[in-house]
Amino acid sequence: MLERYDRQIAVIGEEAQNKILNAKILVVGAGALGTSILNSLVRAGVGFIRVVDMDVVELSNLQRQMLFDEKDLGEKKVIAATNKLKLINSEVNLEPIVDRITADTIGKYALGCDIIIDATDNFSTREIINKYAIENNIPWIYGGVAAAFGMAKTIIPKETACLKCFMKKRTNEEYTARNSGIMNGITAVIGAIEANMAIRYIIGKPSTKLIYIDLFEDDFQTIEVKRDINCTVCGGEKVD
Amino acid sequence: MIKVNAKAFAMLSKYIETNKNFEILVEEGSTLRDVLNKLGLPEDEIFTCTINGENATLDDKVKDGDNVGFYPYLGGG
Repeated sequence: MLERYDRQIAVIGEEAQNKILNAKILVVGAGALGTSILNSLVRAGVGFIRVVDMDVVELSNLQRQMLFDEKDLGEKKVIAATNKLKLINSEVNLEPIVDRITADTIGKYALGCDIIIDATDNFSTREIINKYAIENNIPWIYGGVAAAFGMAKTIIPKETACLKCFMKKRTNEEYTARNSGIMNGITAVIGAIEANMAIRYIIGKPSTKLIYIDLFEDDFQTIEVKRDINCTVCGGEKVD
Repeated sequence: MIKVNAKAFAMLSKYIETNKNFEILVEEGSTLRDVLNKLGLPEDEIFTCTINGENATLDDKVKDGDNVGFYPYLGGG
């Protein structure tokens, strides 16, 4: 059974692989980041993956959303994605959910999951994930992209900074694929980094830094992020 | 006056027509917000900012030779 993961086990060992096989992950979104994340997680052998999204596959998605092809046009993304993922690794237990993550729904979808991975396209949903994750002590991975730029960060409640600790006062001024365009290189890379961050958390070697990538300037930055003792979401407890 | 090396990342570079590192002169005792204002960057587009590779607040003071960075909200997925 483990032969499939030979090359991965050569890096992390069999004990770590077994942790991956027993892991339960919620992926919020099945677009460009989501399909990259799911592709990596399923190939790595994550035991259970629940993926939530309510959109359908459109022609303009095919430029970057790597699990879809022309046959999938008009199909719900989570259904098309899980159909493809089952062909990649039938050992993974996949649960597609056609819905939207809100403050009311996140609890039932995160239930039983070891970690949440953000593949959403807006900061409103990320703030919902952040608040829920901190209050319920579930780690989550932030990822965001636009044009040729991307960022990612592992957030572990009460251990690392949360999203609110390093995010300034939020306005509606956010850059997305819709208003800034998007290159498929950055969604593939940031999705793979988010999946790798989740794997690293699962095997006990979590990433700690905020990563920024600019694929048009060959610019790769790692940022040390401190907790904010006055954070309105996670503050008031120990500070790194 | 002190000299800091500033960089506006990603879309923020449109406000200063370059995203390369460049030096900027500010008064001693200046904060990151002073640097931001001198660069003409809109505060409501700043997702996070850094001094010497660590996240910082806009009220943090900068010193001569500091490297500072400003990052926008990358919201897409």
